[in-house]
Amino acid sequence: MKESVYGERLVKRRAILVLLFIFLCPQLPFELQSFEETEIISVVKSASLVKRLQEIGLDLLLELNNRIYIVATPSDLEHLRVENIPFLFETTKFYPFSQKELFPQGGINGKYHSYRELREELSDLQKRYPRQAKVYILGDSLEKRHIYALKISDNVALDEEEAEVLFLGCHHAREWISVEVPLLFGKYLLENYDQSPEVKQLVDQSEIWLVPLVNPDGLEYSIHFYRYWRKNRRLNSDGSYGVDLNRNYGYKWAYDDTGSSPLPYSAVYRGIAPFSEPETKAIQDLFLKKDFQVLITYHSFSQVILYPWGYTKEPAKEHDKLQQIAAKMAEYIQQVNGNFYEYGQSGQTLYLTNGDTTDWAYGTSSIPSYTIELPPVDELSGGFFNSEEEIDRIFQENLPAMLYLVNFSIQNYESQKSSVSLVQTIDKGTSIR
Amino acid sequence: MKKQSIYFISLSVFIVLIFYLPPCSWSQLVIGQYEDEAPFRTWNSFGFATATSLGRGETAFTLASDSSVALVNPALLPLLPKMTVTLNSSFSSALFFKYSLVNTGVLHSTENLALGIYAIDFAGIAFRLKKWTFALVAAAAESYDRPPAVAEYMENGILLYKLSLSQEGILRVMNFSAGHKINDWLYAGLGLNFCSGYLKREMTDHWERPTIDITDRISQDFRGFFLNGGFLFNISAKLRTALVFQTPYKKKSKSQSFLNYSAPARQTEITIKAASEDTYKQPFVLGIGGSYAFSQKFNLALDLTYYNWSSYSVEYFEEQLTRNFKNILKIGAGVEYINFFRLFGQRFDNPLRAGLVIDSQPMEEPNSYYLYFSLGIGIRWKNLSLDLGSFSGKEKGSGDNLSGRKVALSLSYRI
Repeated sequence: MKESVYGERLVKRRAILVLLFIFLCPQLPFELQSFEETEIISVVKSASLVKRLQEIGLDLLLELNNRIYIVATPSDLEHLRVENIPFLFETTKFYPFSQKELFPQGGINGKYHSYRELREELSDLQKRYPRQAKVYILGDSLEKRHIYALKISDNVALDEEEAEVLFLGCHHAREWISVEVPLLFGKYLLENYDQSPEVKQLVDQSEIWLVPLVNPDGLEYSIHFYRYWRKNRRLNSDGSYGVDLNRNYGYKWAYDDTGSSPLPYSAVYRGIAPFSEPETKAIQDLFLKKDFQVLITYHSFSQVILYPWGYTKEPAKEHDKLQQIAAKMAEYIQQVNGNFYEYGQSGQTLYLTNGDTTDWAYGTSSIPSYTIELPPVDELSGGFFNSEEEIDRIFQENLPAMLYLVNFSIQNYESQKSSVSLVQTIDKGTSIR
Repeated sequence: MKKQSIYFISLSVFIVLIFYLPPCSWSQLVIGQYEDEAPFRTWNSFGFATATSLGRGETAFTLASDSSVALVNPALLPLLPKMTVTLNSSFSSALFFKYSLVNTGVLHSTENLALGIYAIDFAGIAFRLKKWTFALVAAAAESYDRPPAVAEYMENGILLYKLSLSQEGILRVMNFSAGHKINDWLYAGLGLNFCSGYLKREMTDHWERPTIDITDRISQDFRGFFLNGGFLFNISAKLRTALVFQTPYKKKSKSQSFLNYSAPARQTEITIKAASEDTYKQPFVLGIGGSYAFSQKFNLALDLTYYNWSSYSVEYFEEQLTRNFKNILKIGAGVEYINFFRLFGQRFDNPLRAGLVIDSQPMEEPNSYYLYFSLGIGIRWKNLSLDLGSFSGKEKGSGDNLSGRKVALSLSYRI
């Protein structure tokens, strides 16, 4: 009996020691991670206090209304309390510093749209504007994501005898801004339909098709794995990934190996055949079903407006017409905030490309087709990065050109019926922002 | 003479296994499994296999070897001695093929990339208080480490471009369990589990001439709570069966991301930050097991574990991510033969173990599983036991002829 009691005590003592051991042991090889939350505080401004704060090593943010604002960590706050320096919490005054305001969409890509966010936004627009907005699924990507199109028109469910315009975005995954500009254009048209007679007139007289995300798989990869991913997500025969969708269209496809590449690992790999990719096939199918008057495809970066041909330096048959429209768009863009977009024939202004969207649209349908390379102007200004704050500015500066092009299409469509000359039509196209 | 031979053979095998530590866990994430949250080696991390159960095909539902039973089947706790303390360490190395940007489009490796991890990955105590047996254990349940990847482009000896990727992470489980003998043929046990851990991933692009840096950083802090439990049925003196479970749970994550572009020459600085509360909905796990004692020395065990992976879902930075997973059944079978010998007048028990594991992976495409063969050996002297277990096998389904091995060493002290 005594032995048994002693045995139990021994077990208990050893158990306590072992408990300590257990809690300590598996922690050893692992590192804990924590984030120190900061606050913005303010103190009354005085020369002596500024000196004391600097001695403490605090991060002074700004001076305002005789108060000094400071970014303070919990240890800084404790320091101030110890030093008996009175302060006020001001974090809520600085909305950008509160998490909710900083990340309104909460997404890893900030204010930019992911595939899911785009899908929800388009669906929401269709719900809010059922008479003017309709979402279509053009097809599925390789990884089975839908390629969505938003059609905007009066009587949107009907296929009317009206000018049709096509705006495309995000052939290249890393060009996030190219999703936003056509999407914001759609939102602008719908939100202003009832308020602006000019917008109403445009929407009533045309059928505007927006495909903001041609390459959803690539965009998701760019968001989650590698920001600078460009192509789609095709697993090529050599184990590399991706076909450059803007080299996979069917006009002068594989014209040479300068404007596109036969090598699967190349950033400009054109694929095994024209329209081999479901993403470009979806655009082709839409294009064949419609009678578009004009096409714009958005890319970034460089701040240029490009028109066919891209596969050669030889000018297109209607070069002058294409150039006039581009010049007009550049003019409208510049009028917004002085930002100048250069314009010119693709093959001469930027570099040679074959199998791209605009050559195909122009080559097969002779419609004005433009690639707009959105800001920034060069690599050092951000390259494929645009800050979240720039999204709206870039859209706003492009808006008059977009409206102009829709108006141009309407005029052109009407002129085709009444055989008015093209030059006259260009002049008639006015921005109605 | 016969006993001496067995002793020498056992000792030789033991020594060979002791020195057989380097690369011991070869495996890889298979095609379609390049998600960051994929655990090292296998998705199926129910319970914990110390060297003892590892050696007999990860079977542990009906055989009470050490305090790790708390994580697998706490109903076995009353079968342990009055107090059992266990410490386990393992060295694992795994081969990775597709993960993050490696072999998914950006960095292409000519062969699988290897990563080795050594860890003291389990410690636990089980002790009896009156009619109840309690256990407190801690285990490193999952690792999210990846082989670091660096690519450089030089021209005339000058670095022009560098891309680097690193990822590390761990999920720890703390378990408090209680087991009770209800009657001679029925035992029951229940465990409370708290998991915590982190995942950090950083990718940097660096260009020279001009200098441009892109940094993409993700940090996650994990927390979760779940229950596990089980029943043990003594059907007869020789036959035991068990039913075990682990509740589904939400592994919650406080996640932060930081994406930055920096070009000092133009003073361009663009940052996109995000923070979110994410959720990884972990599956329900149900297992049945049986063991048959041919004699006091010789046991045969079989464990079947069902993972309800089709219910797995991920909410990541407020987006529902698609994981095309199916329910799977993991099969483990093993034998244990307890030999004994005398040395310097002392009795030593010498368990020998062998087993087989079919570890199906949850991805729909490709239909993949690992087939492992395991071996184990141990030595027990008085209250002390030292066990060594390892498995070795191949993955089928991905077409990449992957293989896997692991070695674990555990030390137990029993009173």
